[in-house]
Amino acid sequence: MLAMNYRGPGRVRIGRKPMPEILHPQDAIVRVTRACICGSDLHLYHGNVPDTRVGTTFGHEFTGVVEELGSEVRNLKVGDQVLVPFNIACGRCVFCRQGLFGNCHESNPQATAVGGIYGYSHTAGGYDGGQAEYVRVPYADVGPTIIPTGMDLDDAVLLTDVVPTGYQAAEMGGIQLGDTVVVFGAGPIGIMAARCAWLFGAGRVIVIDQLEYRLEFAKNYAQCEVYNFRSMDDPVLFIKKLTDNLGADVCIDAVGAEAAGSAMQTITGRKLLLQAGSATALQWAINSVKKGGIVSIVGVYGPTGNLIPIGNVVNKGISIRANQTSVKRLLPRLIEHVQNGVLNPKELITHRIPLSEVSDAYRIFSDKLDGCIKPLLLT
Amino acid sequence: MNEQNPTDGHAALKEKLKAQKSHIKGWGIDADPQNDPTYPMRRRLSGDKSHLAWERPSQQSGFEDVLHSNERPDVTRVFGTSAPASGVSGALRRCAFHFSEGRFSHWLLLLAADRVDVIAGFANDLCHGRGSQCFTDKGMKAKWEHDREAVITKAAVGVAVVGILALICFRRHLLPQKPPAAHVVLARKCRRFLSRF
Repeated sequence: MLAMNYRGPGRVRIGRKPMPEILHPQDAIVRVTRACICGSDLHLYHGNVPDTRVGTTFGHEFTGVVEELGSEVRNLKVGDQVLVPFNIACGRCVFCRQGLFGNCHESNPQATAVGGIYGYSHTAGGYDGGQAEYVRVPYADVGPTIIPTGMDLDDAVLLTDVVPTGYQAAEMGGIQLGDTVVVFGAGPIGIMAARCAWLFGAGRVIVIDQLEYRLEFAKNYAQCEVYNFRSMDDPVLFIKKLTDNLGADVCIDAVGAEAAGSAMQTITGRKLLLQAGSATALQWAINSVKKGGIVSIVGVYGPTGNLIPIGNVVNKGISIRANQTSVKRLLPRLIEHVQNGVLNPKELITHRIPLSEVSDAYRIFSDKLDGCIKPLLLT
Repeated sequence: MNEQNPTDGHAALKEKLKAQKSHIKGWGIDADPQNDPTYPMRRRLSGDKSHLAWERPSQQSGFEDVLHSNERPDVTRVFGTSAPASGVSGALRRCAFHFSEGRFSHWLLLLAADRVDVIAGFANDLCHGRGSQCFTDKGMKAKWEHDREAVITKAAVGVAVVGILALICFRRHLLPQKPPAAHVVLARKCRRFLSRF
């Protein structure tokens, strides 16, 4: 079968791989119909995630058709069209039973801090991802969800990560009626977080980024205020001035480890890898939030450490809320929102590229070429 | 003490804001005054701790060779098989898993193993005549199509750097030799003369 194949930082190719097999009675084999490249795939692509081995196939956002089932799978049948949450979760462990499907304890042998994730290095379990023609789906009774009749596949594929992660970013912010919410990052997750902040009753939503085309997109899609941090001397001061000099009620970091905006963070975090990525957005979030406010983190960071103003977290009494998204927990509500037209995720897709051109797709997304917001790979 | 219920006035405020935000579809439909961020977002289970044990699924076979964090007693019931550890990078990875996830040594060894793995992968490509694929792997076709200026700039800088390096390394062959200074000639003659004794 054809599958994306990681060769090293900045290098991926399409290649042939053996067909995946049932390796556990609760496995399924899914024929992929849609797969997206996620912003967090770029951390792998740039070689920033430890234990990313040559030959791995990325891709944790995909939909497909069930082709084969293990002997213990009860909830699916061959031919079902499914969307597959990016978390691999057993559904039985203490964490899954608390709704923390992103923190499953039975899916990732290599690290205890995170559960298994499709195509996200051996630090997240060493599973091959969905940027391929076929993929092995473990614990098939738990994660995969049958796509409701009539739902567009482009909407469905974005329900595997982008929509739930944006939604959870807003949910973790504990937004109260009339709150001012600042979202750092106008990528697909940041845009979705801004859109979802309204659902929780925000009074004002502000998005900060450095790319004009993305800010323009965010302004139209999420009906929010947008500002380019390249046009201001000090983003924290700018936000304070926008918010009566007190700061925002909620700040959301939707950027993660590859943030721009601070030379010191970029050099130590992205170039020298002396910290687990560049924490510029998180630093700004902590410094821009109101005393007693909430910082919600959905941006991905590495497993070591980052330079952030933890003293300000203490002195300002900030609550930090963060997690890998619990897709399974959120799906029923989000499917409802998509079906009712409250959310329209497929509008985020700007590029449709055949899987065979995966190297170009990664380059376009990574270098933000051609007005790219979200690339979709077609198998 | 004047305690205020957080839900007091909530409905009235919601109606007021809803009218202001009527142009935003779905505004406030998931508003939840009980969403208190100072508590972890999870369903609390009973306090008897019996939930800490669970019936584990059956074990995926082939687990004996799978590296696992030393912060857990064994391999999880399922695991990925995308690229088993092998060769020099595999030895580094095995070494890394002797350290816990909280240690820098663990992650630094894994990053080092990744880089060794990349070199081995490139050598393998060369052996199989796929060395030139390096450019297509980098998506240079798309880059050329959408950002030609950057490609040309990068190429020009690359050529300049290589040129300067070549000049430094081969300057003796490339640049005309200047005749030695008078004091150098004198010193050489003295050395030759003294070497006779």
